[in-house]
Amino acid sequence: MAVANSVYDEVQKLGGEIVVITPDKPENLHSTAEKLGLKYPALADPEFVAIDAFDMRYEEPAMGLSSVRPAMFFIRADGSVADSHQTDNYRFALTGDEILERFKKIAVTSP
Amino acid sequence: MGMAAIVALLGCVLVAVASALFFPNAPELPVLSEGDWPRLIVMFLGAGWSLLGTVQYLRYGKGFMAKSAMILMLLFSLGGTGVMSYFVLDYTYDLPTPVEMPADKPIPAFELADQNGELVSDVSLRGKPHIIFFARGVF
Repeated sequence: MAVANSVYDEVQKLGGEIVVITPDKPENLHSTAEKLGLKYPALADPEFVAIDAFDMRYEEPAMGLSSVRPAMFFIRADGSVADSHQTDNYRFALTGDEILERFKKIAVTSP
Repeated sequence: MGMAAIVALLGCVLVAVASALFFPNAPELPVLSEGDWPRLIVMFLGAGWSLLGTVQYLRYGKGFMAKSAMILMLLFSLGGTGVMSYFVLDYTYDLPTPVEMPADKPIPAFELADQNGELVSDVSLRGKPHIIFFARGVF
C-alpha cells in the first residue's frame, strides 16, 4: 500500500486519518510494517471480521483461498460513508492525487 | 546462425522487459506504460521473434547445448507471454461486482489491532474524516 503511505502526511494535515485493513496476521504485519516504514495504522483481520462486515471477502478462484477485494471507503467525521472506490482489477486503483482529491471533498464537508 | 540466435535472444529480452513493466513500481516509459496493450504487443512481438529465431537455429544450427539453450529461451518467451497475457487479460479481472455501501449510514462496527498492537475501531476513528483501505497485504 505504497499509495496509502504517500498520501498519509497530506491526509493528516487535512485533519484526517488513514487505516488499512488486511487479512494478514498481526505478527506478520508488525515485521512488514517496520520493514516498509509504514506511517498508517495497518489493521490485522485474519478472521475476516471487519472484511466480512464490509462484505469485502473474495474467494480467489485460482487458489481457492479467501482474500479481500481491494477497495477504499471515504468516511465522514460522523462515521458515514461519503464515497467509495472498488476496482474490478487488482492492478488498477486510484492514484495518490485522485485519493487526495476525493478526500478533500469530505474533509471540507465533514461536520 | 548467429543472426538467428540474436533474434531469439532479442525476442526473449523484449518479453522479459515488457513483463517487468506490469509489476508494481515499474518505471513509467513513454507509450509502453500507457495501458496494457502496448506492453502486450511488445510481448507478442518478442515471443514471435523468439520462435522465429529458435526455429531457424534448430533447422540450420549445430551443437546440442546451443540448441537446448535456444529451446529453453523459447519456452521462457512463450511461457512468459502466455502467463502474463492470462494474468493481465483475465485473472486480475476476476473480482466480483462492487458492493453497494449505503451512503450516509454509519459504517459497520469493527475493532482491530494495528501493527503495534493498539486497538483501532470505527468509534475511535469517529470525529475526523478518514479513509479505510482494504488490501490483500501492506506490501
